[in-house]
Formats: sequence, C-alpha cells, structure tokens
Amino acid sequence: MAVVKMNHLSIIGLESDKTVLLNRLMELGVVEIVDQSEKLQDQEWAAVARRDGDEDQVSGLESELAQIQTALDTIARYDTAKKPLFSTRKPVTRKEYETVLGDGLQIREEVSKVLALHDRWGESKSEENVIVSTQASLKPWASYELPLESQGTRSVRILNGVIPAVSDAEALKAQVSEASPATVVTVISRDEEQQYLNVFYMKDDEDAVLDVMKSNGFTTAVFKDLTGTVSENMQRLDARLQEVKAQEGELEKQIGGCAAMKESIRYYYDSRLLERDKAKATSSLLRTKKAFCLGGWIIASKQKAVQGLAAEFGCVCDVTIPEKGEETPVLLDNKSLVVPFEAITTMYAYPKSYEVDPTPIFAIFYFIFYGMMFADMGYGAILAIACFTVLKKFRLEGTAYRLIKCMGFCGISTFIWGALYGGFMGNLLTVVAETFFNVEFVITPLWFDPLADPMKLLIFSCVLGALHLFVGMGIKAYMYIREGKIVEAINEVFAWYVFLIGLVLLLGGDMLFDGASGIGKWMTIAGAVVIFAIPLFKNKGIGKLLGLWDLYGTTSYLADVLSYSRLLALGLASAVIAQVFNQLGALFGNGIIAVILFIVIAVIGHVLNFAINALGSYVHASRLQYVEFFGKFYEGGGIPFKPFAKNTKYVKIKEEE
Amino acid sequence: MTLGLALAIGGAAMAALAGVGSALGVGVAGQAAAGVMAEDPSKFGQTLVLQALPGTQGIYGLLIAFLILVKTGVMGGAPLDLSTQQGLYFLFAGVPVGIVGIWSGWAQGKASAAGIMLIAKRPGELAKGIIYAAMVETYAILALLISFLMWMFIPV
Repeated sequence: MAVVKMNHLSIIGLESDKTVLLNRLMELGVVEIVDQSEKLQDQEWAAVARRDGDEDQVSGLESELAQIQTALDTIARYDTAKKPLFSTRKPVTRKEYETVLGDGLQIREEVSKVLALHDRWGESKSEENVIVSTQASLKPWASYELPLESQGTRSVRILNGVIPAVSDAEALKAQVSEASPATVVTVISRDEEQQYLNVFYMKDDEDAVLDVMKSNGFTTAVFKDLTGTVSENMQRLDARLQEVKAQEGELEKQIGGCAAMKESIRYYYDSRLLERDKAKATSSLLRTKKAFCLGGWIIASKQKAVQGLAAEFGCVCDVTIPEKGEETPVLLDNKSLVVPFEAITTMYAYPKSYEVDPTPIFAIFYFIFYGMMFADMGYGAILAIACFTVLKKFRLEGTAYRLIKCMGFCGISTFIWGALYGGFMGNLLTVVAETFFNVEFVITPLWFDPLADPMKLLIFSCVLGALHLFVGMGIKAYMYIREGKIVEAINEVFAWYVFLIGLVLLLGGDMLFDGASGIGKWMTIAGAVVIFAIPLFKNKGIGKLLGLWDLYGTTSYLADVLSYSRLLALGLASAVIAQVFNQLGALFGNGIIAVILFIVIAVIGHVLNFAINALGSYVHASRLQYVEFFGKFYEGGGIPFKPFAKNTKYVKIKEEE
Repeated sequence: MTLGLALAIGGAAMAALAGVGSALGVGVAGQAAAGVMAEDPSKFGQTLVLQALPGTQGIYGLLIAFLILVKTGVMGGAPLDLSTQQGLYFLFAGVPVGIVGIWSGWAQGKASAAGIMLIAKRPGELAKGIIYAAMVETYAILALLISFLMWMFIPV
C-alpha cells in the first residue's frame, strides 16, 4: 500500500505532563496535531474546556525569528566565504547542539549587534540616497552664482524655476519684458525635459510678471534649507558623500566580521523555531484547569509507540479507525527505487487518501519515456554522473533530493536508450574520426538507428503509449472493483480493452497473423455492444443513450496514442541537433585551428542541446503522465500529512541512543 | 544548379522561419520575467526555465532546415540536380514546421508569460506553469514529426 494508513488519535492527560509529552511527540514525528477548537461548539465540551495556548508567545517567537533571519541575511550579504550550491541541514548530535547553544544569551547579544549594525548601515544608505538626489537636483543650477537662500533686495525679487523643454524661452523673455520692462530672465541651463530659469523683477511688478510666467508653464524651484552658492553646496555634499560611503564600507566590514558567528546564530534560529512550533501546537489543544486534550492523525503502523508513550505518562489514549470514505492526510510510502519519482506525482497533486498512489506504476514508464526522448550515451552519462555527484556531496532532503535522484535515474535511462540507438553526443565519434583521422567509425546501435527507420520507432512509441494508457485504465478498473462497482469496471474499462484491441486487429492485424482481422471484427462488435448496452439497463431517460456518446470517445483514444509520437520526435530532435553541431564544427576541415574551432562549436552546441533537451524531456515525460496517464483514472487533491516534528531549517538534530 | 534545388533551399528557408515564433515567444516571456524579477530577484532561475520553453520551435526549424540542406547536398558542397518536382517536395516538407512553429512559438510564449506570473504569486507551482506551456508545444512537435517524415520519404 503506497498511501499510508492514518488513524484518528486523541490523548487526554494531565496539564503538568503536557510539555514533556509534546517534546516526546515531536521527537517521534508521527502525529499530525489538528486544531480541536471545533469541539468547543459542543455545549458539553464548552462547559469544561477552553482553548489552550498563548497567542502572544507565538507572535513573540515569530517576530524574534524574523529578526534572527534578518541578521542571518545581513551577514550572508557581506560574508566572503563561498556559498554552497545547495543549502542543506547540517547533522549535529543533541550534545553538540546544546553546547553551541548554551543558554542562548550570548547568541542573542550577537544577533542584536548585527541588527544594530544593519540599522546603522540602513541609515547611512538612506543619507547617501538623499545626498545623491540633492546633487542631481542641483546639477542644472551649477552656473548660478548667487546664494540659494537669497530672495532678493528690498525692491527686487529673485526667483528660480523651470519651464518645460518645449516652451520657447525667447518668446517668454519678450512677453515678460513687454509686461514689465525691468525684468531680467536668464536661462541657466537646459536638459531634455526642462529649462532652468532665473528671474529678477521689481516687487511692484510681481503680479504682471508671474501671470506671464505661469501662462508659460513656469514652476518655482525650491531649494529646501540649502544655503550658500550651488558650488559651495556641491563641494559640501561631495565631502559628505565620501564620509557616508566610508562609513558604509566600515559597517559592511564589521558585519562581515560577524560571519564567524553565523553558525551559532543558525543553531539559535532553529531552537527558536522548535519553540515556536511547540507553542503553535499548544494552541491547537484544549485544556481544563488540570488536564489537556490533544487530537489529530497518527500513522497507523506507528501507533504502538505513541500508545506506549501515553501509557508512560498515564494519559488516556484513544486510536480510532477513520470511517469509510473519510479523507485522511496523505503520506506516501514507496520502495527506495520509486521514491524519487514521488517528486513527479506530488508536483501534480497528492493522491486522495482512498486513491491508489500511481507512483510505483508510472515510475518505470517515466524512466523509459525520459530516456527515449533524450536518448544519448554521452548526455545520459553526464546527467547521471552530475546528479549522483550532487547527491553524494550534499545531504539533500525532501523534494530536492527526490528530483535530483529522479534525474539521475533518467540519466541512466538516457544512456541505455543512447546505446540502443547508437548515439554518443549525436554522431561525435563518427565526425571526429572522419574529419581528423580519415577513418570510418560508426557506433553500432544495439537495437536500430531511428534515423534509418523512423516508422518502426513511431509504431513502437504508439504501442508503448497504448500500453501506458491500458495500465492507467486498469488502475481505474481496480478502484471500481475495490468499491464493488463491477458493472462500471466492465463498462468503462474491460469492454474498452476488448473494443480497442479488436479495432487495432481489425485495421492492421493481418500484418501480424492471418485471420487476425476476423477476430478483431468480432472483438470490436462485442466490445461496442457492451459499451452501448450497459447504460441502456443502468441509466434512465436520455441517459440510456449515453453508450453512443461513449463510443464517440474512441477518437480521444486515438489522440492520446498519437501524443506518444513525441517519444520519436523528441528523440530524433536531440540526436539530430547534436549532429548539426558536430557537422558545423567539421566544416573547417582539418588542422590545428580547425580542431580548436571544432572544440569550441562542439562545446557550445552540446551544452545548449543538453540543456534544452534535458528540460524538454523532463517536461514532456511529465506531460505524458499528467495528461494522458492520469487523465484515465487519477483524481488527486489529497492533503499532505504534516507531522508535528523537528522541522528545523539549518541543523538536523540526531538524538543519541 | 537547377530550379528544383532552389526550391529545396526555399524549403529549408521555410523551416527556419519557425525561429520567428520562438523569437516572439521568448520575447514575450522575457518581458514578463523581467517584470517579476523587479519584484523578486531570487526567481531568476525559475523564470529563465519558463522563458526558455518557447525556444524549441526555432530549434525544430533549424533541425529540418539542416536535414534538407544535407539531403540535397547543399551542405557538403555537392548539390544534387533535383527536378522541379523534387524541389517542390522539399519546399512543402519545410512548411509544417515553419508555419506551425511561428504561431505555436508565439502562443507558447504567452502561456509561458502567464506561467511566470503564476510563479510570481505561487512559487511552488513552477511545474504546473511548465506543463501549461508544454501543452502548446505538442503541436510544434507534431509538425516537426510530419516535416521529418516528409523529408524522410522524399526520393532523391
């Protein structure tokens, strides 16, 4: 059984044992705690119990976690140490973990220190921004020589401002001097958007002058609190900018210096994370004055351990089997060879708890399909070696682990199909032997070269596809039979088997053996009759004719099977594109320069081809599962099991025996 | 050089037009990706994968164009004397992958762009965005297959 059985669990125990019990449950990691507050709608429960937990504690821990994360991010930004390709949890023993952590006070201080540095750096940065933007706003006024704060004399007013670049400054000058002959307008500078003007006018003429200016789109420029001339200001700002930048550099160095502490800060982060999870779990419980009540799901095969634990603390522990048809959280459990392919299933959707986990069934197909579409010994070897090296070097977990291992397996399949088709980086060896050594060399395919006989491979692809689809339908039949719906299984699956196989024999069976089309004819008729007849008896009204509509669905089977032609097309594409690059490289003939050019073109070409086809094969192998295979039976949409466990981020704490 | 050979080269040119679709598609997806990057630079890798998807049509076109050039002997320096009829065969063989490539590349680019928007909001759903875009590619693959089979069975 690939979907793990779950049972309901409820534990009632003494409040004084709660913390220790939760710690032990967390270590076991086989229970999902479910919020029990729904029970409080029941009068009897509401009379004696209330919600447990402390929201303030949870939010306090959460904001602390956010702070520690900021500190870690800040350190990471200026840490000069090389960052690993994948972030993995570091395994530590409980003893090491506790030694590093100590009472946490020292680490807490370190975090505050980093945060303080971070704040000061932020202040510097925002001052830098202010300076830079002030400088930018002063730049057009560079040739203005009066102090910026100067407003004019008793009777003359000085005004600075801008008009749009499209306005005609000369016309403006003429208009202004008409309105007030004593006014002087100077264009200080201009750029793509604006013209920067300085205006001297008599205060008596203010209204007339401003009217003309406004009608030309004039807006007054404001120099906030700036005093002195523009060039004085520029010098002052430049000097300040240097200081601020130096200060930033100094702070960055100090933050970088804290990198030595990042390890212990990470431990601290995880310890807070565990506290947060416990506090959160507590708020899913109910409590009275002296007792608590915990409810949730437990992995059926692990319930002994929890029952034992409950007995140890003298708690009441009740495990019940879920009602038929009740949905439980979903946990997949497969053989280790199949586990990597769970990545493909879960990317689509978890199965519902009453469904069959399709992973072990499609894993072999996925393996074959990927290899057929990539099909090259060289690429396969590279992919497999790269993936398994990563797995060896990094302790990956979860989806990343599964996906990389899945790709590693697919690399092996690619290699196998490459050997079957006789492809090594396209026809690299043939081209090299021919161009540089004048030798004929061809890798003999173990099976056949699809370029020589694509029809054979097209038929093979479609047959493989039909097999894949039939397996999918078989799962549907299995699920129907399990629920006791024999008629549905016959109508929707077995009759179709007979009908479709009959149809194939009828149309092309004579190529296989004599008389096949005769057998095919009767199989087709028998299948069609059953498909047509069963709804006649089962349904009411217009539904009786549903069988006819179902028969029309034959076309969709045709479309599904033809969809597998991509196994041929993409397999050819990866081989031929590789050949294109080999041939392009060989165009330069023989000689040292030609060899260098060949190597350059081959490397670039094969890297490109590898990347595109590795991705393409992954995508299309998945598509064949999701659309064609899952379409036949799979529903999906189960909710994954989230056990109450040590879900740490940076360290993996190993308990000592 | 015969008219037939010229037509066959026209077939290669026709196939290579699939690159138009890829260019449009990758361009559309790239615009969406740049928009997402502005908000969240950590999504570069994911958006790049989606952006790369509509790039395959151009490669399929290149593949058929190359095959035509090889079979007609243009590549390799010994062009065959094709009859006009043979030349037309090659011209038509280039049509499916070229024409379907243009529109499917473009449409796939739009689906990819939508997928990029999807991962902007739900980073865990990359695979689904990829599958939506890959649904479009099916038709480019079918066209590639037809072009290939035509090319395969043209007598020279």
